[in-house]
Amino acid sequence: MITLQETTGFTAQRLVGVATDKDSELAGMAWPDGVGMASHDIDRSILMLGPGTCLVLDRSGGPDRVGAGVAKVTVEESGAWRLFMLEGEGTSDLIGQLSPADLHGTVDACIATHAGGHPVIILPRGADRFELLVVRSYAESLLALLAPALSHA
Amino acid sequence: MSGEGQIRRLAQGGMIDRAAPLTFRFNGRAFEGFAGDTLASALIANGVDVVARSFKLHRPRGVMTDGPEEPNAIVTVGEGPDRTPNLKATEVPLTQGLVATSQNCWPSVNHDFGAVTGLMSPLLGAGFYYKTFMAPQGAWTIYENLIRRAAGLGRATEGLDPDTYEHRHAQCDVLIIGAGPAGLAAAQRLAGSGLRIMLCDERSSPGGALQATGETIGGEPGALWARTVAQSLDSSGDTTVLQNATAVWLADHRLVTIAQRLEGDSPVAQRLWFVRARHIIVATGAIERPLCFSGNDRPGVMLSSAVGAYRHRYGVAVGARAVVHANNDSGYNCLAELEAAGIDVATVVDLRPDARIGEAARVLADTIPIHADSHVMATSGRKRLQRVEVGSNADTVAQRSFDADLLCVAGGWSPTVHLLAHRGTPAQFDPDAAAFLAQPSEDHLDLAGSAAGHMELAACLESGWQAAGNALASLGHDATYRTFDQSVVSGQLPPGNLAGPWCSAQGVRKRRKAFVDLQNDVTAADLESAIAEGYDAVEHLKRYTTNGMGTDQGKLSNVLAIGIVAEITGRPIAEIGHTTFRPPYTPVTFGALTGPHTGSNLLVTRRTPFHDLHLAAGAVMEPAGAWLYPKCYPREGETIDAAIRREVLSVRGSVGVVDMATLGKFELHGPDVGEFLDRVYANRLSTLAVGRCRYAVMLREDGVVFDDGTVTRMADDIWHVTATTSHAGSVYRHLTRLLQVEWPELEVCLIDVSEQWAGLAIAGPRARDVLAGVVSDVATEPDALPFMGFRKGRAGRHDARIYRISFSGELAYEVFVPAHVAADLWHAVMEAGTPFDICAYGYEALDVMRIEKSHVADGEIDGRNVPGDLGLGRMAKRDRPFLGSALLQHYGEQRKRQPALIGLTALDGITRIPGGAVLIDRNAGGRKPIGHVTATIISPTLGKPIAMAVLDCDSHRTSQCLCAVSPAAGLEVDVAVTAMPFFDPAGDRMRA
Repeated sequence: MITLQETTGFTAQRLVGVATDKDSELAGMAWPDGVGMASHDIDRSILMLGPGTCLVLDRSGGPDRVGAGVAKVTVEESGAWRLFMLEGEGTSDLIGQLSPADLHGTVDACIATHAGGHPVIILPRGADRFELLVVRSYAESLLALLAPALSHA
Repeated sequence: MSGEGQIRRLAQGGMIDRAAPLTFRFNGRAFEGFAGDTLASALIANGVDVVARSFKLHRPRGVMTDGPEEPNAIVTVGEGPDRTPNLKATEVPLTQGLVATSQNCWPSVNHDFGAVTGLMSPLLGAGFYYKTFMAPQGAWTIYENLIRRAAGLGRATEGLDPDTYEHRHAQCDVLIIGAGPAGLAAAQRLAGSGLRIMLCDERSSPGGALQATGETIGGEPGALWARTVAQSLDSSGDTTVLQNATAVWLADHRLVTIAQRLEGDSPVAQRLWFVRARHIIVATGAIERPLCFSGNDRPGVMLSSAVGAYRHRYGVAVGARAVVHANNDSGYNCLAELEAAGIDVATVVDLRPDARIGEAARVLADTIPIHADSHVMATSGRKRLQRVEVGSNADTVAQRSFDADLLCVAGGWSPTVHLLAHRGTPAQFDPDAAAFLAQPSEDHLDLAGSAAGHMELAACLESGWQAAGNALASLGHDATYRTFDQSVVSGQLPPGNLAGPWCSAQGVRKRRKAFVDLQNDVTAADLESAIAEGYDAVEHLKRYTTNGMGTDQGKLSNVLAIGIVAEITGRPIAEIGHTTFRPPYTPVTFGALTGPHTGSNLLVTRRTPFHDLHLAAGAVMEPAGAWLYPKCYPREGETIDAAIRREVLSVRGSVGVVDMATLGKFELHGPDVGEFLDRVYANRLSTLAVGRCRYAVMLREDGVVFDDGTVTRMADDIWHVTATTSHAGSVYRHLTRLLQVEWPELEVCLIDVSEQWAGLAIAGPRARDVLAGVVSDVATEPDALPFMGFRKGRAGRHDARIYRISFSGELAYEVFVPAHVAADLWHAVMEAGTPFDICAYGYEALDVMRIEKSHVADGEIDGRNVPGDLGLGRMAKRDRPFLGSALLQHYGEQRKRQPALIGLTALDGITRIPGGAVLIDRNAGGRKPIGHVTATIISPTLGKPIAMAVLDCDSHRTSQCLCAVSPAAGLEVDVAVTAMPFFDPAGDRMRA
């Protein structure tokens, strides 16, 4: 069975103009390997969305301004997203019903794509386990589109 | 279940499950069949000869083929909302309780009143629409009604489709299209390579042509070899096999659309796959062609390959006594199948001279007499073939006649090149193969098997093997060459020498019964007539005759027609060419195309963070682009108009609140932001002080107004820009392109914060009082927060941004908080506003108020007006260029007239000026439009109708006889020009 669970209370910050050389780190976490990649620890994730641009998620609702001194610009985005965990056998196929993203061999990836026309970032978090970071205003529409697929899963 | 009614079912054989009998109904009669049957095979087994009536002439038609090329057996399956018209019986899997009916016939397919049109067939030739039904003048509408009733095939379903459809995206390294011998050989070679393989096939089980013949591979039946290979692929773990899956479109960058029917207990009826592959092997086989002769459309005339197909796949004998008519050696392959099925063969009629008939073909014929250099001159039989008349190619009358209920026709083979031809690469005619062959012209794309023109089994297997090697090499894998062992393959005869006329019917009368396109009743005489009338280019010929325009998409008729055109015109086929192939390869249901996007999921919708609060407040929500936005908040018993009026008066009289969350909102950081904004906007912004806002107008490069919004300087190097809801995306893309491409040297960081901030506008004379109850850490007195000022503060526990901006013309504040705490802001505002009877208002009331204040919006910023046309000309900088300034100046010099934005009132003071009306000047005479209305209301504040309009020329402003004309509404309203803004022209209220 596939389950969909929303994660609330997280914080998100966009950092622009970061230098991600191998010797540096962000709040104790290594930078992702490149654009389209992510690094994770227990509660936090760094998503590399573009050259020098990343999104820092803290599922524990951690402190603000993690980018101070590291990024040229830090912008709060906690209100811009909704975060869901989709897991269970067949989750890849379920995502494949809506998104053209290739999930094969995507450990530590962050895949900026769409799901049925809804902008979403897919974070593979293990076998048949994916986080979906959905632009807030599209989230309810995406949930409605997922509902029939979940009921058949 | 006894199976007694299945008079043509063989006692054994076939791939059906005889332990799983099924019952079904056809035209109201009950029949029996087996799991694994198609509707067509079950009907043939039950001795049903007439399945449908042809489109134009209502001639009785029977099953001709065993595949998607079927032109005749078009039926409706299902009842009520489950009804699906225009299905080919050869593609409908038989299920328990299936209900199917014939189409295009009344009262029954066996006794069709429409058959009288056959008597008028000489009048209904090609292009008859242009030559008949022209007189008497005006009678066309009567003819049209009659023709419409007779036209069309199936009837569309009414009501909602109960089936569920799904889309599925997939990616693979190699996609093999077709699980016949070539496709399976390719898959076999690729298995175990570590590559991700997908294999799709239109049938319910793999094997393709191997299922329809007695060919062997490795000493075992080809169909068994196919099953073994497929099973090994299934267990290999790296190959996905899709059955009942037809590749319908090969698009750019190797994106293939596959339409799959799901059977059994699946909750999903059909699935549309979108497969992106790194390499594609097209192994789609070939389709046998019919022959064109007089009387070639009777039930009982079938493709020669269908004989073996029905015997091997379904255990069905398609007749009792046969004549074989061929123009190539492969037509002789069916002789063995006929014998095995217990069908007598009267004779073989070969169009070719004796010398061109291959020795191997003669061996197959054995003792069956061959009439070489001969053709079928006529057939007879009403609901089923009964006799075949034969004569030599030189004869004008038949010399022999044979009793037969089956006529197997073999006209050669057309490789299925459609998917490649969809890519725009024309197939070339090969005279030796007598077929159009395609040449892949792009990397990572291979043709294999019969699709590549190989007609012998061994060659098909080898080409599939080689295509797999090409795929391995192109993807960087070891492709050490190994040849498929052809010694263990025994296959059927290839076509060999193909010769003979494309249409053997001589004389007008016979050619009127020599059908080229069986579904649309296009005959050789029609082609001749069309060419004589000048339609000799194949694209014109197709449309004038409708050849190839049926649901079979010309799979049997197109090449035949081109060959006949070549004979008639004397031009070579290669010069004539073929019509444009367009996807899909076979019809795809609307349900499959739509997938999950139906009902409330038809479109992507966006909701503001206040959405649920709007609903709780009783809002009527309407789509505004992708957004769902509150139109108004009607109270019990209130009409929409009354609600809007109340909301306006409430705001003007006290205070109201409206959702501003849909605005585009962008932050710009960096020392060069001021310079950037001066380049992008028409007015000067770099001089804006911290804590101040300014209205700004953005132009396109041609000087036309693109969008408007506000610019706020939040800190020295931090700015905030808004865009209208409808242009938010395009403005962001525009700014991004400018920074990345045009001016990368500017130190500006652009971030879209539209989703992060949710805002409410508090507007009305009591807005300041409400604001004071909502925010803290911010002084709200007029001096502390002047008009067009900005402050940061707190709204409850949350950071807040407060802008003193007004679109309504009232004292107003826009308060923004992070979107995930929007509900707190709403509750705080409503609580603070309760003493002042605060009301929520929607976009209709907002629009009314902005019209009363003459603020421009979408109706005016319509992609045609420059700033001066909208009264914004003085905003444009004159001392430096900006985006759009060059052409703005150029057009300004070129224009003969200067349009103007004006205000209008209705002269009678009562009648609403129609929306979208054109303006005419009665004084000028005539009714030439001189402008148009952009926005119109009955103003609750002023108690009269007002409108904004754009006049084509400012000089018309002084006319006393303007009239707003709406032909659509049937209204003409006399209007007068009036000053704008209509309300509070000095702006005292918003500056209070």
